[in-house]
Amino acid sequence: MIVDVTHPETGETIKVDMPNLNESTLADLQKEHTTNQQLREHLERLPVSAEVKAILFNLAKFTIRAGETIILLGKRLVEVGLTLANKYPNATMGVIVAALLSALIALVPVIGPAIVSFLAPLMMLYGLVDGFLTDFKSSKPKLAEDIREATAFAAA
Amino acid sequence: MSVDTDLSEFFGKDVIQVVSDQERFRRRLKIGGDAFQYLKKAENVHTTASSLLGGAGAAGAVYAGWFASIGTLGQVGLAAGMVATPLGALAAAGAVGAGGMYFTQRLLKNTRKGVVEEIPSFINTPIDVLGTTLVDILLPVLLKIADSDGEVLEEEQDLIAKYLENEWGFDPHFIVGAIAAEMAQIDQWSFESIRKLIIEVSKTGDLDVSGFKTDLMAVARDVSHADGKLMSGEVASLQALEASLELRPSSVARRSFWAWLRSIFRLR
Repeated sequence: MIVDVTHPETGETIKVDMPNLNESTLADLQKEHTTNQQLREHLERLPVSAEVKAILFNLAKFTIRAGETIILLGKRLVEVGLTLANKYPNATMGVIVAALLSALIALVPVIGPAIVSFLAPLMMLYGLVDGFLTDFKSSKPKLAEDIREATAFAAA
Repeated sequence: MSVDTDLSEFFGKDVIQVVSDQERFRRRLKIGGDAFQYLKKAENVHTTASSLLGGAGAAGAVYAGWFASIGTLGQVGLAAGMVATPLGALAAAGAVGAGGMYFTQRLLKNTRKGVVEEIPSFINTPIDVLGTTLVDILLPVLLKIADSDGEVLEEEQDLIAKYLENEWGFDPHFIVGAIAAEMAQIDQWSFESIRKLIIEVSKTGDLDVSGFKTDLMAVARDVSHADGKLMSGEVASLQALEASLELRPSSVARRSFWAWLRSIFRLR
C-alpha cells in the first residue's frame, strides 16, 4: 500500500510503499487505545525527564496517510512504548521509543528524514549511537522481538 | 495480534491516581520553564553568548586578550591607573557594555516572571511520586496545626481537603484515604520530620521550594483560624512550623552583602 508521509517540520510529503500494510493491519493501526489527555497523563507518570516527555508527546501528533485514511502512527508508537515500558520495567521508555523509531527506519529508510526530528533528540539525551539497535537485539532479545512485531506492518 | 492485546490490557486498566488535575498541580509547583533542565542550560548558554556576541562582545574579547597580554605586573599597574592605552580604555568600555547587557537581560527575565505565569507542559519526577511526597509534607503539617487545640474539627478537615483538591489538584478519593491514615498517627508526628522531605523534593528541581514554604505557612495560618479562635497551642505550633521551614525573620537580617545584592537583581 502506498502511504503519504509528511515531514513534520518542512511539510514536504513523500510517497512510501509499505507492502505489508493491508486492510487488516490498517484497521489495527487505526485503533486508538487512549485519548490524548490520558496519554499525557500516562507520560507524566514516567520516571523520565520533562524534555523526553515533551518529545514523546510531540511524536504522538505525527500522522501518515494511506489513501483517505489517516493513521496516527506516532500515537501508536508511544502507546506501544508505554505498554512495553510497563512490560519490561528495566528498560527506559525513551530508549524503547528510540528503538521503535530506529526499527521503523531500518525497515523503511525513506521515512527516516520525517521521523529523525523525534529520534535524534532521544538518542542525544540517552547517549545512544547509530546502530544501537543491534546491541539492543542481543542484550534484550525478548523486548527486541516485541519491537519487531510492533513494527511488522512496515516490513517489506 | 498480541501487540494489540497488550495495548488493550494496558490502557484498559484502572489507574489509582494521586493527582487528578495534573495541570493545576504543575502550575502550583511554580517552576515554569525551569522544569526543562536541559533546555534551561541551553538557554543560559544562549544568554551569555548573546551578551558576548552583541556589539560590546567583540570589544570584550579584545579586552580579555589585551588584559591577558599585559602580564601580572601590568594588571597591577592597570588597577593603580599606571597603564593607560587607548586600546585598553576602549576595550574596557566594551567589556562593561557586555556586562550591562547581561544584567539587563536578567532584569527583564525576572520582570517577565512577575507578570507572566508559565506552566511547564511536563515535569521530571513521576507526578504521582512527587504528589505523594508533597502530601506527606502538607497533610501532617496542616492536621497537626488543626490538632493543636486538642481536636481536629470537621470544618478544619474540610478546609484542608479543599485546599489540597482545589489548589493542588489532588484526587479527592486519595485525599480522603490519606487524611484517615495521617489522623491515626498525628500524635507521634513532629514538625521536624518535614525538613528531610523538603530537602529531597528540592533535589528534583521540580518545586519552587521558597514559594512552597511561604504558601504552606500561609495556609497553616488559615487552618489555625478555621474555627474562629487562635489558641495558644496553635500559636506554638505555627512557631514550630516556622522554625522547621527556616522562615524566621532573623535569618533575613543575617544575610550577607552578596545575598542582598543578588536579591536586588532578582527584583523580589
